[in-house]
Amino acid sequence: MIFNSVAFAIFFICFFFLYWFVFNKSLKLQNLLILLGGYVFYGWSDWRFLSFLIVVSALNFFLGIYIDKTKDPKYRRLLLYIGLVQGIGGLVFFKYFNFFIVSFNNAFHSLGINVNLQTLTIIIPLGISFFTFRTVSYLIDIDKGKIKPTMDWVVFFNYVSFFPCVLSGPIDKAISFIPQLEKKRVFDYHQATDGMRQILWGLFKKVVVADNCATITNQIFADYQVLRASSLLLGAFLFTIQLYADFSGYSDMAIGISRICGFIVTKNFNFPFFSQNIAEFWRRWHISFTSWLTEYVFTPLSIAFRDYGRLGLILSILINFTLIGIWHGANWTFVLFGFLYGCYFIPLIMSGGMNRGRSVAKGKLFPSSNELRKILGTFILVVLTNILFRAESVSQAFGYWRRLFSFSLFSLPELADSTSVFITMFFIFVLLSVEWLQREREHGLEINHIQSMPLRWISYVTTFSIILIFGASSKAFVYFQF
Amino acid sequence: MKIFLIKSFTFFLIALSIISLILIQYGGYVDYFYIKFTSPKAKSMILGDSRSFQGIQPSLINSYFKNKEFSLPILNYSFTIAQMSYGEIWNESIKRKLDTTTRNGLFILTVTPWMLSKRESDDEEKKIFFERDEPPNNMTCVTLNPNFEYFVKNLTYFHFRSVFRKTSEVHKDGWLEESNLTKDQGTLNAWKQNQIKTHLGFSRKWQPSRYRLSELDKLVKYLNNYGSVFIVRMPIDTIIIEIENNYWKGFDDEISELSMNNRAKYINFAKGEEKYRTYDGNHIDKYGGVQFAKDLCDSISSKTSN
Repeated sequence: MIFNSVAFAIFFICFFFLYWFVFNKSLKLQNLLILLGGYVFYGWSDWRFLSFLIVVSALNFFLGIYIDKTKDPKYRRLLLYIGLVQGIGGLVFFKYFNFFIVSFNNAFHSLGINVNLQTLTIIIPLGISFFTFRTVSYLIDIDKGKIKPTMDWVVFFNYVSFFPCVLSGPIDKAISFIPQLEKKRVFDYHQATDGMRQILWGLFKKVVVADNCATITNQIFADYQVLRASSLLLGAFLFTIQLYADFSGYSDMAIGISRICGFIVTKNFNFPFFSQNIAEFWRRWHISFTSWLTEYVFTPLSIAFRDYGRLGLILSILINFTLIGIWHGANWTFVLFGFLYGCYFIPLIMSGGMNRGRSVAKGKLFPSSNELRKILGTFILVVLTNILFRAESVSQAFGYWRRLFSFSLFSLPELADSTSVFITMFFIFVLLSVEWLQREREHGLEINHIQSMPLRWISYVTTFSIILIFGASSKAFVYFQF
Repeated sequence: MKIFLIKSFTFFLIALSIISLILIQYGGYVDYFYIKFTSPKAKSMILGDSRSFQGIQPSLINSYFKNKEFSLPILNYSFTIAQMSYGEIWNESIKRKLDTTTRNGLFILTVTPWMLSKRESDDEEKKIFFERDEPPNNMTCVTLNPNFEYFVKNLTYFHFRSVFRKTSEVHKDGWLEESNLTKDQGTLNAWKQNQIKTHLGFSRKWQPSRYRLSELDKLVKYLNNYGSVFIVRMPIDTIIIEIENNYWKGFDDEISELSMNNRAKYINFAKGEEKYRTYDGNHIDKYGGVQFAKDLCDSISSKTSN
């Protein structure tokens, strides 16, 4: 079930009324309803993996309790490792097994040795990365004594499979999410109405911007070998916008739905295209994931490498970003994608500019020329690097780059359907303009500060009409595959 | 909570009004099939795929038989090969749209070998068919205006931006009129080549189906209770006819026999004459459709008087 479907709208309306009007008397019942709703939502997409999700939840629930109870450090460690092997091992098996086999075969083949290990037909459980990260951080935090395990299985199972976030995040840590499940939720009018606005804004990003971009980028990337460089540049630009609008649109909807249910979920995007350097960009992009990695991978690594000074820091970042790349998929394009982003940090580390550039044009309508230069520079770097994200192979990415930097860059792009391209570009302009004006707020449609009610309602109705008329046919979210 | 519900309800009401307005005003532009589910039950019907959807104009048939014995108006209840094939599911959907009070209806059933084929995804023993979740087969209410059942079940079919760019229109009588077709011969040739490629693909992947043929037989028997049935093979490009005839040898004989057994009439226009203009080899354009409608009506008229 995807958020931008009629099935989900019906599901959520039913859920809302049961949640706030029937099951609101008892916290336990309300939590049971969330769990049931979560399993219906998850099982709707592919019921076969529901049992996997339940087994993973049960295993980690008991491991959490036993890790906390155990006084013997060795036994405690063993229990933690069982959890990590199950979590990370499952992730590696489902997502990367075939990639390793193929790479292994190819490596030997290049040495002239014919090894032919068989790949397996593996179907990846939806959202496996997202719920694995939740369970892994839960066990590590218990082991470190940061949190106490919950004794309520319904609470824990909900933490793993909370339906707005189970398929594509945001990835909340137990320390902030479990307490919300353990206390009675009270309906908050302002939070719920803003949740509705955020859903509307997320829908606009997804169906108007991302899905329309996808139609164009699919054509351009399929025919990149015969198109002009200017068309390829347009394709790369549109793909970066598509990726952002798709994933941040999904996150907006997930956060909005959670808010209507009385939950505060981690923000996942903070207007990343207004970043002035790559470090800032990654602080604003897929925040829940990068902060998870910062806590559980980057920080331990940088502590381990602290004796090597800046070199240690560079090494930690390169490993961290390569992992970010690999997480996105079992393909060398993603490995290179992550590694390249890691490399972009090197000049920042050397110049000590890692933490610079926090807020742009604060209190002003327009950025200064210096800020604009930095924003554009960062954006271009992102656009060029994201070609790797979209390309099916490294050779395709290099082919794309090669054609991109040719003289035809200074010609007009070939447009198969120029009207669609112009409409899409117009809505990208709307998206970026609104987000620029709203950059100090939570999301693009957070307009509760506008005093005039008719004006606010005109905005809602206009947004809805645009979604209806200009939305492309529903396509699955890009990040579902991860 | 009360204010939240009131405001949410108001918003949904406004949203619903916008949707209703578009569906009522522009239903024929924003979706290829929507309008077919907004008209009353039909006394007479044209059934088939995109060839009859675009190629048979009900208004011309209605005016030709204005003073004749048939219960008119006739509705073009054709879809495309992506949604329909003759079978139990399609038969059921036709029954839902048919006005069963009629006794003198006119039923034009167009046939091609592809509409009577077993596709890769079909499992005739387990009764798994590709068309199950497609319109019109997934529709229960077929006479509502605005039809929200169609909107909910088939949202992905809509292309709402067509309210600004009305290049094709499905008329209230169910006929799809393609305006604004390109005149560029290169593009038209490319379309034709694409059709040939597509049909060759069908012939490689699909198989003639006894099951679908027997379901056509059941449909003809059923419709016989409500009027006269004419089975029609539409005129198309000779290359595509050749592909079809090679794919299903003796197709015309089998359909002729089926017609005879059921007191229906078989009118075969796929004889290789390039009398009617197609724009892609597979679909008669609206100008060619005028001549075709006349010839079809002449044939029906002559067969009725015989």
